[in-house]
Amino acid sequence: MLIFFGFFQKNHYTVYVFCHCILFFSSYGMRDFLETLNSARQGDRDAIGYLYDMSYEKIYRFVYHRIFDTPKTEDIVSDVFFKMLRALPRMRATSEGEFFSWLYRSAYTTYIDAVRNRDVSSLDSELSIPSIEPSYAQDIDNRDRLHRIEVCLQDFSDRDRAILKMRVWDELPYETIAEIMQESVANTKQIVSRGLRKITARLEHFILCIFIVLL
Amino acid sequence: MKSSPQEHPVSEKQAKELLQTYRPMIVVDTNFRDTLRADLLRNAQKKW
Repeated sequence: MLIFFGFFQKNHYTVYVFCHCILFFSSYGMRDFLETLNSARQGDRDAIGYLYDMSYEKIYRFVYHRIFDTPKTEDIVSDVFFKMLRALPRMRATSEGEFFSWLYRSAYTTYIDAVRNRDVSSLDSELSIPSIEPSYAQDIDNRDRLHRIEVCLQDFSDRDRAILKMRVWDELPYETIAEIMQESVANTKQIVSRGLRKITARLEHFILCIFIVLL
Repeated sequence: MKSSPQEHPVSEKQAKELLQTYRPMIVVDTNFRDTLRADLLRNAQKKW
């Protein structure tokens, strides 16, 4: 007991995290996803909390990758989760994959609506960085990084650029991307492959130019 | 001696890796996450 108390004093944070992990896995972590989804449909708050915890960061990143603006990302993410709450009782998803496809599709349409209402500037439809001043240091850094890859993506169509980002930055499965963009899976794969080939060709040209200059 | 692009092949994998290096850095604000979670659950309680 004394040994445990001594350990707890020295490593209280580790013990705290460990206890939370045990509680998490014993309650929902190990449960069947469909069972959790069904509980959420009936208003079980623990189940809704679990769905939120497992998807918040993915949806946040997905939205942020389209607008690079922290406050506006937070607005859209709020909308997406409140839409999820309203849609839960009639949601037809029967697997984790279908649930995430629904959520990503909802995030994408909410983002598109915000662009149409001019609430946010789209980075998928134009590569020039929006004129609004980013309010967070993180946003400024990220917009600077985006400038550096403009040369690789400059003549991609809006749709191709969006699909490529979903595959490379969001690491979404082709099936989910196809669902979000209302395309066939085969077409989505072709767009990603064609996009990467284009970038490859540009990189080859870039490397060749450096090589010639060095000679 | 000049060289053709074919002699310096860049694979699609490298292109993908390059794009990944430019993936935006995101630090998720846990205060916002927790506040939204609490709001969501409060609304769930009202709804059901």
